[in-house]
Amino acid sequence: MFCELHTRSAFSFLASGSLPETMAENAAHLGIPAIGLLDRDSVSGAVRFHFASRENGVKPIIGSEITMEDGSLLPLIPIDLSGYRNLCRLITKVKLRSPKGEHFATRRDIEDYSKGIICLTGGSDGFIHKSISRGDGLKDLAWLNYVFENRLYVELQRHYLKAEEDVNQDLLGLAHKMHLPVIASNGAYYADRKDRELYDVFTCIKNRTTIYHAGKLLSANAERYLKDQRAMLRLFEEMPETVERTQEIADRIVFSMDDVGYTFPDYPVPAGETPDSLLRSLSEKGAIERYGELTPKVKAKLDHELALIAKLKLAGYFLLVWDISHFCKSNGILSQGRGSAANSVVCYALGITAVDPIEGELLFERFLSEERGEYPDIDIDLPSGGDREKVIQYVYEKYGRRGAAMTANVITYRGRSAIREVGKVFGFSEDILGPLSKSISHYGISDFGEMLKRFEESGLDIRTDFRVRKFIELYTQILDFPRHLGQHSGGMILLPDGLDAVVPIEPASMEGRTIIQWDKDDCERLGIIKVDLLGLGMMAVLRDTLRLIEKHRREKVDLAKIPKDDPQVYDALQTGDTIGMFQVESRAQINFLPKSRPRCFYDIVVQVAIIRPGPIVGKMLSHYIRRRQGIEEIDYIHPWLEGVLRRTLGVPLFQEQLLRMSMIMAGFTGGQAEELRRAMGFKRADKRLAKIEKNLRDGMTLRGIEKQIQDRIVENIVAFANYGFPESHAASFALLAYASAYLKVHYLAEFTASMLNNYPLGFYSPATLIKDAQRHGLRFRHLDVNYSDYLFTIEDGAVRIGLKYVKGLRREVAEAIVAARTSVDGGYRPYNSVDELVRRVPLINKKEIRALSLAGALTFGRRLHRRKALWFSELAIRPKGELFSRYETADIGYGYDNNDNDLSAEVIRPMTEWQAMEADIGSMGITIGKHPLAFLRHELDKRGVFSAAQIGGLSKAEIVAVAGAVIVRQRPSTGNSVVFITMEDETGHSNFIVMPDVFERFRRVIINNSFLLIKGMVEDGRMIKALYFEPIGDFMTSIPSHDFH
Amino acid sequence: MNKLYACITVSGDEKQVFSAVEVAKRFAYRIEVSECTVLFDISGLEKRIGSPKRIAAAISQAMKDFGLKGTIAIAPDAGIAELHARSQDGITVIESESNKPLALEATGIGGDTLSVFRSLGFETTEDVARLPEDQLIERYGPQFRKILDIVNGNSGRILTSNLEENFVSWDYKLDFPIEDFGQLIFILGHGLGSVLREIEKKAYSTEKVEAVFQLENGEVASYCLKLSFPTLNQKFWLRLINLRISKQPPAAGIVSIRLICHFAAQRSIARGLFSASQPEPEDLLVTIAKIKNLVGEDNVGVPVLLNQRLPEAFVLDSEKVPVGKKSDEFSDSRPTLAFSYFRPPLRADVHISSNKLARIKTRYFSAAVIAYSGVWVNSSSWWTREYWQKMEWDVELEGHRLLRLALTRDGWFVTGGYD
Repeated sequence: MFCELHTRSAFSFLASGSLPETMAENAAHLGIPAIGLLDRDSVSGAVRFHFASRENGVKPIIGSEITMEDGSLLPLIPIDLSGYRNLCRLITKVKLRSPKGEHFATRRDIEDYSKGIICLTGGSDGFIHKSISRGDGLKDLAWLNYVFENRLYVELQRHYLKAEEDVNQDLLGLAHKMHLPVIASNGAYYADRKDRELYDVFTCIKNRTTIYHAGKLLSANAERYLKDQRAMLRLFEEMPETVERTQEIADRIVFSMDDVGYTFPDYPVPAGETPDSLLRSLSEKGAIERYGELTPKVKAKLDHELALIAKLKLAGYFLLVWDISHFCKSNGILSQGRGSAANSVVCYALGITAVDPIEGELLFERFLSEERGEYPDIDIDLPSGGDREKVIQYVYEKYGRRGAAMTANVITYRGRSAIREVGKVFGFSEDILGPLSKSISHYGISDFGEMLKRFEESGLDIRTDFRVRKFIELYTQILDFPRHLGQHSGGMILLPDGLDAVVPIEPASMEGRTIIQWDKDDCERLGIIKVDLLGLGMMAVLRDTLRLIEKHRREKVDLAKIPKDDPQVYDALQTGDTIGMFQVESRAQINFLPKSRPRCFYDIVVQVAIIRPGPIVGKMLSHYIRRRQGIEEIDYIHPWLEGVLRRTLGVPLFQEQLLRMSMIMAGFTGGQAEELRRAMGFKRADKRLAKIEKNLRDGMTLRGIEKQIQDRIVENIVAFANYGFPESHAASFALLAYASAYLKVHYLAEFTASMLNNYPLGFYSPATLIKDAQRHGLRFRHLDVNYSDYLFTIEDGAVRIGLKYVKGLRREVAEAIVAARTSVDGGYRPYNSVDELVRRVPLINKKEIRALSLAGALTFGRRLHRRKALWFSELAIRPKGELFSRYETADIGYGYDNNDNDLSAEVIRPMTEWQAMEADIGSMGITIGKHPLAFLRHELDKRGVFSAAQIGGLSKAEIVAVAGAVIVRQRPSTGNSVVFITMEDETGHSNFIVMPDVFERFRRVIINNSFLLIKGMVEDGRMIKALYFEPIGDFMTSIPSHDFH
Repeated sequence: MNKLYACITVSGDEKQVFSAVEVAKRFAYRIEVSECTVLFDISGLEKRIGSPKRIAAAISQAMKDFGLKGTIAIAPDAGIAELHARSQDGITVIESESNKPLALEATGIGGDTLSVFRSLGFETTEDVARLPEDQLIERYGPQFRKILDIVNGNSGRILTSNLEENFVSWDYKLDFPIEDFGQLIFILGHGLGSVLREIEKKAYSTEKVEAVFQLENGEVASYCLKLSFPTLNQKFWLRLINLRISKQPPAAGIVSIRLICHFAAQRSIARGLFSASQPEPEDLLVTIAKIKNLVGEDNVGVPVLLNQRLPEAFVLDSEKVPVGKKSDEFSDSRPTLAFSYFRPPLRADVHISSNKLARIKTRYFSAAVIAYSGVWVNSSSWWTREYWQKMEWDVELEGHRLLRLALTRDGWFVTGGYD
């Protein structure tokens, strides 16, 4: 039988028109018994391909085309595990030693890693084809034969191309001369003939050209698709043995992705200890610290978990994670484990997680289960930025560059990128692609009606314009195709004894980082354990807030010990006054909080979990609110479930509840229950689900549960299983939410400064955070080169704006400004003039000093206004002549700064308050002056336009006009195309709901204007149903907003 | 006499600029044309038309006559007139002793400085004029003096008349219509000599000559000859004209002749002392012109390979002169065969036996297939409605003829042969 040994998939990135799964499916369809995927310098599609092939009953063969020095490709296929290891090490070596995208293998590399590998000579872009055209065919083939003795096959590909056949004839001659076996392949770049179009589009994207200019870069015909035995025999009619021989090779290959040689990582333990014993002693010691004593309950839990960990040989992994956590603690880095790890007492005792699973009644099986055949995945939240990087680099240092790497993130073509890249290939101008990609991101990637409308607006019609039709076809086809490998946000794989033998490692775009060629799903499918080191902006905010509190108030706040029942915190939460607070600050949360009115910590856990697509779509949110408000009676479905659902008022919200429900009602074991959850998470789970549902019903029937109750339980489980949030995860987040709320309520200045210093994070722009803090009474001090640091600082309870926010000011310059304020003896040495600043900070450039002037940082004790400062800056930064350059460091002030009689004074007038506000926003994106709307209030009052504060007094169905700066535009996936808008004015926020027809009518006004006047009808909960929009004010500024995220 | 300048700006459309020049010609003889601006000297017109405002009105009327829309500015300074015309709508008239503020953008201040001025609250030249000049120079250097001059209404701009014709023409009116073109050769030669001498005097050459004949039936017969190299060879041009006209003679008797020779830079020829002699391009062109006469204009030219996937990825460039290639350009050591395309391709009947090509029959020959290679498949242009796919075979027929056979939607064709 013919086996196609040489194909490529989209994981060759821009060099194939099909996904690995499609290749596997088509192979099965064509009756090809084995198929080889040889992506270019990569095995990143191998896992998906392996499982897809298995599913389709095709033998998957994994290999790779290796780029050689001359740009040609050498196809290599590992025969066994040693060959696979060699292939991975070869790819790792060539990738890690060169800058990204410039790698190639030398002949020496090939010789070093050739063991256990079969070599094919390749197609028209292959190593030998290039050699033949150079006249070195015989010599190079002899070299390959020497390196791959008995493992070299001369590969013939026939795509009905004359030039290719010419080389084939030469190649055949050489093969005969050297007695080498010849095989046939089609070098398939795509699964089906029609995929040639996408392949051509990728060629254009790769070469940054259009389909009209690509010329001979495009494929000559559409013959590089998967062909069956009959087609191949027709092609190789005169030498059928070349087709038959492929089966021999396929049989010779014993390597399978089922065993990639991965073993759970070990952790070095002291003499006399085993990983299990060390883990036990550390856990018990930690448990005593956490609980005060090792109670029988705690001991029993620990024993249960440790026994399972030992059985699954996972002690080394837990010790690795403990080691990272320990490093954080010893280096003063805040860290907190989250996710299902919070269900584990061992993790809690080791200090990896902060939530007590015993107190929270969390289910260990959600984290680790023997039956599931899966391995734990521990997520550690770290302050984003430098601290997280420190931890990552510690891991690299400890386990070596070949022993640790980040998991990859497969970046795929999504709405915007697909529109832009395919659009460019079809020669559409930016005028068309800009609005189109914008509208696609607003409408979602599959709304073709909207896409066609946007095309029609540009004068293009799918009915008449063939180009538009083709564009849409290809756009649809390219979605979800991999574009390149990125870096996962924090997943790290550790294997101290040779990760590079399991999977190739390559450099990431970010300096000092490396990634493996598989993403987290691939790792999970192969049973490879990862540790997630996730950067969380809020952790950095908490860290900085605590530092600032200690510095300015001489108070040491311990997050573990803050009171959990602080009334001010709950007051703020109950009124939805939560801007800046972790996880509870979104528009939806703010609307929901006054209805749910959280009263205890568990309410916050619920709050974090409930504003999610699952509960909203499954109507659990509305049931919960009504029950919470006492409007609806609490119903536990069945009395047995009261214990499980009591805390959530009978509404199943958490994955753990799902597991427990199945365990209680159907007698499922922990593992079976977890299998149920996972089955529901799969997109194509029908078969699996049907089987599990049957087991569930059988179990319930056995326990005498009536059919009606069974239906309700099944219905409830199905409704939220896809989206349900793990309770342990919600609890970890709730801890941070509470901590952020506590710090905001009690230490507003420190918290706000830290938020602004760690931006970007959260839901709102810095401008909104500042206005919110001001409404809470926080004072800000303006930017000043004599007082401002790079970051925001605290001065007498007020927040001083930091130089960080000055647009275009380099960090090193800002830091030089601050450093030069300190004299050699440590004293304070302020700047007295622009000229002096320029002299003392020679790094500063023209743009930076202008920006500082406009931001109001150069007033020198109010002696200069912004424009005057700018005028003097223009003098201070002018290029010096030869004479003056000799006196670079001398104190030769030009004296203009203090010259009040200067004639320019009459001409250069101070900015008005309005202009200063515009200059603030223009130069920093924030203002501590009046809100832009405050300037218009008088006019707006005259027009009868309300402020946000006035809306509270209105009753339902009243018609109202409100003006403000748009800070949020959202179209949630759960909202049936409804758009939500939040506006801000000097008094607060107003919220609007925009129905799809209204949005369509005012689409341009809504999207293109920062300041709007909206007329609408008051609905429940201060929400206004928008009916009419108009832009307001002659604003030169644009307000940053949180749009359609 | 006080100087006075007018400036008209129109859209960049070539026709509009042409009309604006015609308007300017009504008022001035010194005219400078740039992309969308026509600047002209109207000094002294006050005596004939009146005040600058009245002149502006007259120019405006003239523009209306030409159906032109645009701006007009009149100022005692050419540069100021131009800046106002470019930056302000409608009509702007600046009297000799006054000045009008200009938007700062119009002055040519660099983007950086302009943004600083905006931040300082300056909008027009009037605002800048209030600042002490020395302070401005101190900040922006001596080159800012230029801007200050503009601010003060004195740009120093000199009008450089550039409305010179770029061709030379010669006209001749015949006493009676002449139908036989051969009789005009002598007159034409005389005229040609005259215009070519004129061109030579101006140190130019020409690569484009037009011969326009007014015919007795009121029609015009026009012939345009364009070369890929400039030449002043009168004999050569005359032969080309003769060949062209003899191929397409005028439909009626000729009553007048107009010859137009366009300027082109002179040909530079630098040959080494020992460089191999090669035919002069003129000779080659005459030969090509003769061939074109025989086989048709579009069927003669230099094949140019196209970087496209097309059934026949080359075109004939009929204006290109063939040039020799250096031998090192052929890097491929393999022997190459020349291929002749048949025009049109020969329709063929192909006999297939046991799934193999056996015999080919056309209207010119019928022969058995000795051997063949292929099929070669090419296809492309899937992104247009003109998607194509071509299947071809290289066929050896008895008698050692090597041909290319193609199967298309319309059937079998022999598309060419190997030499």
